[in-house]
Amino acid sequence: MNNNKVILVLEDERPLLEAIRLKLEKNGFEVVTARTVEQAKQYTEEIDHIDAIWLDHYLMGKENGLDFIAWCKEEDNAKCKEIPIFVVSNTASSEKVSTYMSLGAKKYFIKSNHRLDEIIKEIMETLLTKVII
Amino acid sequence: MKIRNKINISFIGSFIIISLLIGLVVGIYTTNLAKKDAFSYLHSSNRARAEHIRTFLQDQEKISVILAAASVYRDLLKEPIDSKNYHIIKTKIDKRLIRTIEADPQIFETFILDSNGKVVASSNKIEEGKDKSQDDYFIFAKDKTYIKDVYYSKTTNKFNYTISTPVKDDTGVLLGVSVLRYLPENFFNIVKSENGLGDTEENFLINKDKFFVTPSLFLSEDVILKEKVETKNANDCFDPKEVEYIKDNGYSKITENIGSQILESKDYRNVDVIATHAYIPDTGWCLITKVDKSDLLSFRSKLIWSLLLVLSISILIFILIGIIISKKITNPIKLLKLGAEKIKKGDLDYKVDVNTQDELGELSDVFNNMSQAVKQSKSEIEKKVEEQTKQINEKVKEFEDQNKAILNILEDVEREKSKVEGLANDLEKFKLAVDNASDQVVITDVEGIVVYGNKALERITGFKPEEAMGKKAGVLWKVPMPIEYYQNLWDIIKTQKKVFISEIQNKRKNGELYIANISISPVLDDKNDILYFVAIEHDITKEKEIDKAKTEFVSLASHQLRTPLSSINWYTEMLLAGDAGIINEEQKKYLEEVAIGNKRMVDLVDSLLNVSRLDLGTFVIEPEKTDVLEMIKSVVNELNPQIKNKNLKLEESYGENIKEFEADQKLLRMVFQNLLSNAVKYTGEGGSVKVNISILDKDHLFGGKVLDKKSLAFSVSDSGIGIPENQKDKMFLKLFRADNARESETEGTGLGLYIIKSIIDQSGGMVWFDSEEGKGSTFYVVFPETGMKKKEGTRKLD
Repeated sequence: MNNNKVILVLEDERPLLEAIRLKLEKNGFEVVTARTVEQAKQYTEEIDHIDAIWLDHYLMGKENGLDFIAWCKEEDNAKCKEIPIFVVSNTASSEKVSTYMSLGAKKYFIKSNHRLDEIIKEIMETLLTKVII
Repeated sequence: MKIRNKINISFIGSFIIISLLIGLVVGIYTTNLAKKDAFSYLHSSNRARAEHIRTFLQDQEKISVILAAASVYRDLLKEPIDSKNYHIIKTKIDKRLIRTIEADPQIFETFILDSNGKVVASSNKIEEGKDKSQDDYFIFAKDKTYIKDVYYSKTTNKFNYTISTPVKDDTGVLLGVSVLRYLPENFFNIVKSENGLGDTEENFLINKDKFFVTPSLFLSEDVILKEKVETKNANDCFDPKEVEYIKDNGYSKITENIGSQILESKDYRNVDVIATHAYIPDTGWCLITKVDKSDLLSFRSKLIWSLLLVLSISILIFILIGIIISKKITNPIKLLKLGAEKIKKGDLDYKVDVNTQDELGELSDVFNNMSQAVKQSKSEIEKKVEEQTKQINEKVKEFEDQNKAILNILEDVEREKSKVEGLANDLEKFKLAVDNASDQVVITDVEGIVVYGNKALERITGFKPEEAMGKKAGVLWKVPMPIEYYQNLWDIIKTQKKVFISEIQNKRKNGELYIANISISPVLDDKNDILYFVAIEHDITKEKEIDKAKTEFVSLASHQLRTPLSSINWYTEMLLAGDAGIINEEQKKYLEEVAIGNKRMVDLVDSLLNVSRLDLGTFVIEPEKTDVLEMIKSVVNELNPQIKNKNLKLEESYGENIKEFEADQKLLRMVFQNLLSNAVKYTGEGGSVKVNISILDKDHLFGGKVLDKKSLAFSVSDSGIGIPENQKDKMFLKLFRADNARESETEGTGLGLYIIKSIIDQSGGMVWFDSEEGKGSTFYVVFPETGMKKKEGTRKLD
């Protein structure tokens, strides 16, 4: 067991997923990747502790990011509901953003408008604050 | 036709006819006379010349006889040649012969022949000794003087004729012959001299073989003894009877009968001529005298011309006389005509003033009497007519009054009738219009019970109007809504008596849901009491579906476009960060360019998506209380790096009266950002940018416009490149960039101004600008002080 933070990344585009993984690992994260909601749910249940979730809207399979966050933030999902979820998506319409936020997302990033290290920096800051609290 | 003209024409006409007749008679007579005169002249001229020729020849004959009679000729011919005396005589003779030639230039040679025809002496020494015994002038001159006709002499190379005379001794024995050679030129002159009959008058001689002896006027001189004349004249001349007659009697008697001697015939040129002839017995020649017929008759045309001249002068004189005479006659008639016209026009007191002591004078007296009589009877008639007219007018007045009364009644009836018809017509029109309107129309009473439904009711809800009648409106098709909804509805239409407008979901007879725009209006009477309600529903289900499809497309497109851009963005970032190993300066530079390019692409996609939302009208405007000043300052702050970089002078002026303003923060920020970044972008180094915002009262002048209400007024000025005059009207068009903007700044999508204009227009504001190319631009934006207008839609702008 090491002190690395564990982060679950949901992203369907393989090249993006790869870039995210590499960059997160460089920044000291332990990265678990999933391309479907189903897979992500499984990992959430199987893995002991997850510090943060990186969520895209469009995913492989039938379900999308909204389905996942809705499932995760359910009252009785004790294991998942406390994990901060960072939505990183190109689907930038305002009501989508507000839906995610109302469902309990921590932050919403528009992929193409942000550098990876900006997003990672924000995630790390959030996690740090959480620890302090 | 006027009398004067009639007189003139008859005068002149008869004069012309008479003149022509006289002219004709005189012409014919004169022509004949002239012809006769010319004939006679021609004839006498011919005879005179013939006589002249004969005299001339006879004179030459006499000379020859005198010469031959000289004793010295006889002495020479008698003396033997070898005697001593012969030589002396010969010398004498020679001298005499030379003298003879010198005395008469026409004699160009003279010689003496002996009885054998041998030349014993000659004025031309070369001839002496030659034998001439076979020559005519020797043979035919043995008895008496002989004239040899003109011939061509080979020895002298000349035309000549000879006169030879025998030399005899006292007993009459022939000793020899004396010969004189003559040139024929003398005859040429006699023939040539003119007589004045005309240019074509000609005289010529022909010999017995009809060859020319003298030259012809019309042919060359070379005709002598070469050209033959075969005309009727030539033939008649040598008629044996005539020849005999002239030999015996000369010409004297023939002159008495000129006619037979004159011939109208053709001459050797085959031209019509008048000709005559005379036989010359001494040589057997014929003298022909002729003149062209046309020449002789030219006299006639001269005569006609002079007659015409006299005629036209006379006509002129006659016209003058005619005018004077006709005036005398017509003037009184004219006066009578004038008088008649005056009387016709009513001037019955007019008197015709003609005082001539003739029929016209009498006529004018009668005329004056008549007009007097007319005047009298006219005044009587007028009096009667006046009386009768008065009576008629009274009757007409009565009738008109009656008529008017009747018409008034009819008019009233007609007006009422058309009013009723119009109403019925209008009602029918309205009913048809409402029945067939595409929107559902339902009319209810005050309690909401349906009293009418149109055809669209069935089309939209599936229920027939009969089914809805008598029931509470909407019970058949409504989907239950919260109780507050209905409370609000009834409050608006019944209590406030205003129009209720809303979007509503309903259910069709077949259970299908649909969305409609509904508007319910109360219809009020004079006392403001509700009579009934009219509800109009417009089915917008289809529009909603299309809208949704469009919105989803934009959403999907935005995701799909951004995903590859994110890929580029992030990998470039990682390469730059050295995540894949250290990169050199050059590689870094290139990658930075890729990053910039990618960023532009992302911006472009964002703008395009915004534009598509604007065009769809699906974006939302959600005004909330906003600190506008803070927003501007933060936008300016963001631009600070560029402002410093370009060393721009920034002037900020913020009104103190700005409180919180109702604005959609995202959209208003977009407006500020766009205009300010444009100002910075298109202003060169060291230039200036001014930002201005304040609340201005109604009627305040702002950017050249008078504000129609209290407004939030924002302006950005720069000293930049400005906008070309001819492109100003295109500045707010989608994807348009001014030429100078494209040249100075490659970056730019041409969408910024389009987007903010749409935002400003749709949120109740206004935007415009002033600009001069090369000097700078100022953009003005105003919103009503009450804030941006709210707009519902499906999407926000990003």
